[in-house]
Formats: sequence, structure tokens, C-alpha cells
Amino acid sequence: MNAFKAFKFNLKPVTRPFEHVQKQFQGIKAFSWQTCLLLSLLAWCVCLLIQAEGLRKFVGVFAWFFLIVGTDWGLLEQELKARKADKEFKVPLLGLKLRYSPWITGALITLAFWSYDFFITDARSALVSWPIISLVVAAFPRFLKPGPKLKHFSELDVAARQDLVILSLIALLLSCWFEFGFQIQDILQQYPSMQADSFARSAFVVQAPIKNQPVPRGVPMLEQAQRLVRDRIAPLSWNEARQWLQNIPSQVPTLNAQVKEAVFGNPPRLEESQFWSLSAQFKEEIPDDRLILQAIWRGPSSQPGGYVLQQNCLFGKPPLQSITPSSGLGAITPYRFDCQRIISNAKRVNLGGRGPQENFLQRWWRSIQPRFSRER
Amino acid sequence: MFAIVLPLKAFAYQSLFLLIAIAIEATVLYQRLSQDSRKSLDPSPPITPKQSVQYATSTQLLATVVGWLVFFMFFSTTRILPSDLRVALIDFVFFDQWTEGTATLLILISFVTFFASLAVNHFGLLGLKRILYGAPKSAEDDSGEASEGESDVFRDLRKEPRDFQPQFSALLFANALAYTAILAVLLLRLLFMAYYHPISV
Repeated sequence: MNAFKAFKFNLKPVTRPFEHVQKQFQGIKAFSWQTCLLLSLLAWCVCLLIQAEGLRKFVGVFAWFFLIVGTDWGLLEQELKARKADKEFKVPLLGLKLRYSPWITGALITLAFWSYDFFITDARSALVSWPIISLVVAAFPRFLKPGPKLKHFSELDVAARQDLVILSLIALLLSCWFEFGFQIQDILQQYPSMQADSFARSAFVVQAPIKNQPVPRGVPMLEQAQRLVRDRIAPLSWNEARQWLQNIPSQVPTLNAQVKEAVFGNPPRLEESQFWSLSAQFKEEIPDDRLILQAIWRGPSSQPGGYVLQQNCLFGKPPLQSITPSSGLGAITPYRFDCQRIISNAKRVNLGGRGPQENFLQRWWRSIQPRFSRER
Repeated sequence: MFAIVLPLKAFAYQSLFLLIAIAIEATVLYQRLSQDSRKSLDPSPPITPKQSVQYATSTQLLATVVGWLVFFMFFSTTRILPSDLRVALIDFVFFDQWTEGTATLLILISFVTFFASLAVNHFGLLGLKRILYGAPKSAEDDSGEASEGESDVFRDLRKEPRDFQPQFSALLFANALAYTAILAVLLLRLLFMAYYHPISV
């Protein structure tokens, strides 16, 4: 021992952290939360070394169990210390003491159930059941009596019962809130075009601006329509193509069905397909005739009554240079069919044209300015 | 790639409304029900302000949770609603768009909600007192009430309408005040939205 001390004397700065750790380990009592956490760590290491799936799950149960019991124990001890020193966290108006340890323990138990697919299979059920499990964790200690018995509900005193009632109601409310959040996500899955819209007026939801905001489904619809028309008139001559285009209102139902099938599938995967419709008009103008393709949205939007996405395609004779006799180059279309950028009468719908010049903070700042001070 | 859309505004508004309702109801309950118990055949009055706050919290939270459960059962958007109602609901939740039909439906729902929440509050408070203080005693112990002092005496259920009327009227008054305050907040919000985010046609 003395030789050891003499040794330490020379190498103090190096051995000091080791001494610290050693003292920590020696300070652990046998029956304490640190032991529990260490047991959990041991179980996790064993779990990593085992290859067989069934045995792994078995050891995993122990690992989770020790982890949960250890953290709960440790947090409880911390709370007792804080209670003695009178440093608890109180809600100011209602005088309720808020304990955070059941929430952490509840989260761990939820994660344990999730990893074993035990009633909880995905993030949605995990979040919704977390408050309820925390409630059980928080309420359980009140029912304990010395000895392995549990108190009956009528043996609790009034204050404990009142606390339990309020606690359980708050937990249920949080569960309802989480469930509502997931139902909002469900709606957005069925109506993805709404994500291109702005939710600034909403009284319920908030949208975090992201970099690649999706475009409404009308955009792929218009692209598909344009492609269909182009393919349809490609083998025709200019006169025939013009005639076909002049009769396009009669082609609209088939075009509509084909475009919707291409974008939404048959039967439609999304509920919002019933609110999209395609329309086409052919206007004869000088110098080029114009085919106006419109994707009309009559569903929920920030614009009352819906909005229209429009694409103008110019149809005209090609410039003289490209009229060459076909000499093995394949069929050269004897006319021009250019489609312009998609425009819309919807003021707040993202059409994908705005480049990422401003980051999301700038866009958010701009979006909360009052209307009259924004430049249009 | 989903946009991150969370109903944080709904949580904030609901917490605000809950706090307003709890504060108003606690005050009204304390004022109305802390009278001398020997005058009226009342059940236990909430003597301390803290108790009235706890009663108010419990009943308002219960009403909110019951409201959410009704919402999930009947108005949940998993194809229970007919399609046009669903679209109107989505319009209302996400874009604050009102049609005449939506407005009348909402007014109807608010009326029903007011009376339903009143009923939930009343029976919730009865249930709470039963949970806290035990089952009601039988009618023959009426005479022993004066000697019990502050302890709680419950009447037989058939006497309920008369005995619980002060509680019911206190709850009615409290709920009416709370709903008025909530309507005032919503009106403020309407004005704010009209100024900052007018609908562009």
C-alpha cells in the first residue's frame, strides 16, 4: 500500500482521473440504482454477443427491465433529495407538483414494448400510449403498502385521489393531442396537393417551412397531358394536327381519364383525385395557335373556390430552316409545339418555380409580415 | 417527403381556453358554494380556494377529454363522414374557409357543446365528489348532518335535483362566463386574421 502511494505521488496528474472513477465504483452500494444500471449494461453486452434470436430476446427482456428499474430508482432518489432541499418544480397557478420521472420511465417502457412489438408497433401507437403508460408509472407507487400487498382504491386519502384524477386526465388529454396530430398527417397523405398550399390562416396547424416544398398534383397532370397530346399529334401532318386540335373539347373526357390514371392510378390511390379535372381549349391566334391546358382544383385550398393551373402550348409552323427532306434522320415533325411554364391564379401555392434563393428562415419571416407591407 | 405540419396552434389555443375556463370556474365555484352548509342541504362545499381550483381543473379537463373522444368517434376523418362534410371540415381546419353551411353547422355544434359540457361538468363534479368522499349515505342520516360539521354528507340520489341545484346553477354561470371569454378570444383572433392575412380572391 505504501509503495503504491509512493508510486501515485510521482504520477499524480495521470492517475487522478482513474482515481476518480475508482472512487465512484467503490462508492456504489450493493443495492442501489447504479448497480441496476450496470446490470442492464452487462445484459446489453451479453445480448450483443449472442447470435441466436430467441435467446437474444430473452436476455433483452432482462436488459430492458434493469434499465427501466434503474432509471426509475435513480430519478426517484434525485427527487427525494430535491424534496428535502425543497427545490421541486411547481406549476405556479395550480400549485401542482410536476414530476418528470414518470414521463421518462414511461418513455423507456414504451420503447421497450415497441422493440418487442408488444401492443405497440409504430411511432403512432408509441406516442399515443406514452402518456397512459407514464400515468400508470406515476400512479402505481401510491398503491403500494409495506409487504407485497396493494392498496385498494378506497384506502387512499383525498389528496392522493384528487392528484390521481387530475394526473390521469392530463395524460388522456396528451394522448388525444398526439392522436390528433397523427390524424392530421393522415389527411395530408390523402391530399398531398395541400402541402403545396399555405396554412397561414389556419387556426389549428402550423407548417414548418422546408426546402423542397411539394408541388400540387396538377403539375404532373399537366405534364402528362402535354406528353399525350404531343404523342398523339406527332405522326400527323400539320393540317391534320390542327384539325385534331380544333376538335379537342371532344377529346377532353378521354384525356382526363388517361391523365388521372397515369398520375393517381386506377383505382385512384389518393382521395384528392376526385377534385382534380383537366380541361383543354384551342384558340386560333396569330402568329401561333394556342392550346390551353388547365388542371382545375376544386378541393380545399387557401383560395376560396379552388384554383387553376394553366399551361399554354404554342402550336405553329416551324422556322424555315428545319424543313428538310427526310433523309434517314427519322420523322421530323413538320410543326412546332412548345409548352410554356405553368402559371396559376393561386397566390400562395408553390409551383416549384421559385428557386432556393432564400432559406427557410427568410421565407418564414416574409410569410408573417402583414399583407400591405409585402411587395407583390 | 412530408412537410412538417403539426397542430401546435390547436394545442396552444386549447391550453389557453382551458386555463381561462379553469380560472373562471374556480372563482365562481368558490364564491357560490362556500356558503354555510347548514343553510342549504348542500353537499360538501369547496371551502378552500385550492379545492375549488382542483374541482374546476378536474371538470374542465374531463369535458375536454370527453369532447376529444366524441370527435374521434364521430368526426374522425377515416371515412365515417360523408364526403362533402369531410371536405368542409378539412377546409375549416387547414384553411379557415367558411361556407354558409359550415357556419350554421358550427353554430349548432357550439350550442350542443355548451349544454353537453354543462352536463359533463355537473355529473363529473358529482362523480368526482363520489370518488373523493365515498358513496352517498342513505336518507335516514339527514338528522345527523348538523353535528358532523365540515364533513361531507351526501343525500340519496332521489333527492338529487333539489340538493345539487346550487352546484348546477354555479356551474351554469361559470360555463356561460367561460364561453363568453372564449368567444371574445376567438373574435380577437378573427380581427387579427382579417388584418394580417386577408383572403385574397
